[in-house]
Amino acid sequence: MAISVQEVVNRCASALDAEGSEYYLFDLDYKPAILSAQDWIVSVINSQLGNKKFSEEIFSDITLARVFQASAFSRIRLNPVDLGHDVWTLLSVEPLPNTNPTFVHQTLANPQDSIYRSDLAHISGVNFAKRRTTEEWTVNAKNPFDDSHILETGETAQDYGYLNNTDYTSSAYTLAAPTSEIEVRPSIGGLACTIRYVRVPQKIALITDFIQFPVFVLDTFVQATLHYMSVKQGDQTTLNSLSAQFLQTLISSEE
Amino acid sequence: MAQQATWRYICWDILSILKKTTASSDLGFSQVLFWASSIANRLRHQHIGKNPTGRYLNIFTGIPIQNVGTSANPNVVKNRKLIVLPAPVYDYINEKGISYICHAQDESCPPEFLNQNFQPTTPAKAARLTYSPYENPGPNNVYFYRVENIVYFLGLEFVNIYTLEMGLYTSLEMRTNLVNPDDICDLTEQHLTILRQELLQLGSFAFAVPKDRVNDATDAPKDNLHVKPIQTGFGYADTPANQSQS
Repeated sequence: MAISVQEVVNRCASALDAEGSEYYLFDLDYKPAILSAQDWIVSVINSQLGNKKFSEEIFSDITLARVFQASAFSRIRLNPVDLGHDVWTLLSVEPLPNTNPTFVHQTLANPQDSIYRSDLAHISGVNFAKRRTTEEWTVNAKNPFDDSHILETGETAQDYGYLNNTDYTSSAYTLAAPTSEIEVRPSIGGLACTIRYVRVPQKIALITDFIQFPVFVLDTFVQATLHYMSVKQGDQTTLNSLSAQFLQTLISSEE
Repeated sequence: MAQQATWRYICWDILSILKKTTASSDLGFSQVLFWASSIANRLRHQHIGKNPTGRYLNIFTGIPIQNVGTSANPNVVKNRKLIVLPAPVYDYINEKGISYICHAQDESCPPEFLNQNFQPTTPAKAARLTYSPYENPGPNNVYFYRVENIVYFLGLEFVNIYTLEMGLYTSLEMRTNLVNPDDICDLTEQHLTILRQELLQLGSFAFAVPKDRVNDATDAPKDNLHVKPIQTGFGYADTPANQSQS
């Protein structure tokens, strides 16, 4: 369940002893602070997630599973225009899923084209692609024990690997922006692939909106919002040091 | 009929015990499958050597006899009747990996191995056979010798024969990426515990190997090798060799 902006505002007003007061206004004070807090939490979680210090539960409201049709070169472009949002981080890449309805290949204009198949829903899958770094990708291409190897012709692949976004474009290989693609190996050219990812949370605009983080980060969110509101008041205020202390406690508790 | 363990059961058993089931695991399914196949081959070899029952015997029929017109090095000699082994076989003294070779069976007749089995020999020993009329190679007393995966015959030179039947103790496929992991692990049931033990031993050894291949762009071999200096009576020893002496 997402966090209501109204709830954050109410708690901030309480901490500021500004209930019923019009000293702090939504558009001028709360909203910019909430947006800053949202960006801050995104950046903190990003680094903490990389260190496996957050579980995926924190993304429960913004985790999506979408089915794509890979290009002939086994690459997939995550196009925010097609998806309707920006992609924050990939959680898993699952080649050849079972979908509803059953996947049927769509013919595309160019071999480098891949598409988001909004008509398909991921149902189940048994394949998983492990993330490989750029170096690992090339070094292990003919390593028979690596999940992303391409050594054996005719192999029924048991494991897959994928390489993070890279721009492969040239004068003969053109794509609309964004031009970077992930690549899956062994090839799944023209076939379905499910990608689970976290979308970038929607920016709030109104006090009736919801912040797309789970309720258990509400207190963190309030503290972060208060912290950004306190910046206006000068660095040495009591509010600033208090909220900074709260946030420090939060981050260290996650370590 | 009891359901036997497949390769998938065996490999995931090992990966689960070693706690290597995560996406970031540095030990993969195909590598464990390779280990399992190589150990299973050794266990099968030992078992057949001591107890050559029919458990691992495979019969191949209709193996075509070839008579090539051009020699090719190594091993292919023209104008000698030969067959190419249809599968790799275990290597034993006196070619025991080839249980038998006989003429192909005619329809509705008893098996030809009731009448005549070809006898193993070697190119070096074959000359002795011609000294005795009872051993001299001929259509009724055929010998074979093996050269890698080719089997040549002595005694079939002047007869027309096209196919043969063979009983072979074949080994397991070692290009394990081409193996279906849902195939049954072709190992006697009592050997599964030995296989598991050997795999775990191999796994624990693999994880004891120092992690010295981290590409962190720094030249820090001591840290990566986890070699801690220890004090000896002659100062500090920081090499594995010195450690073992102290």
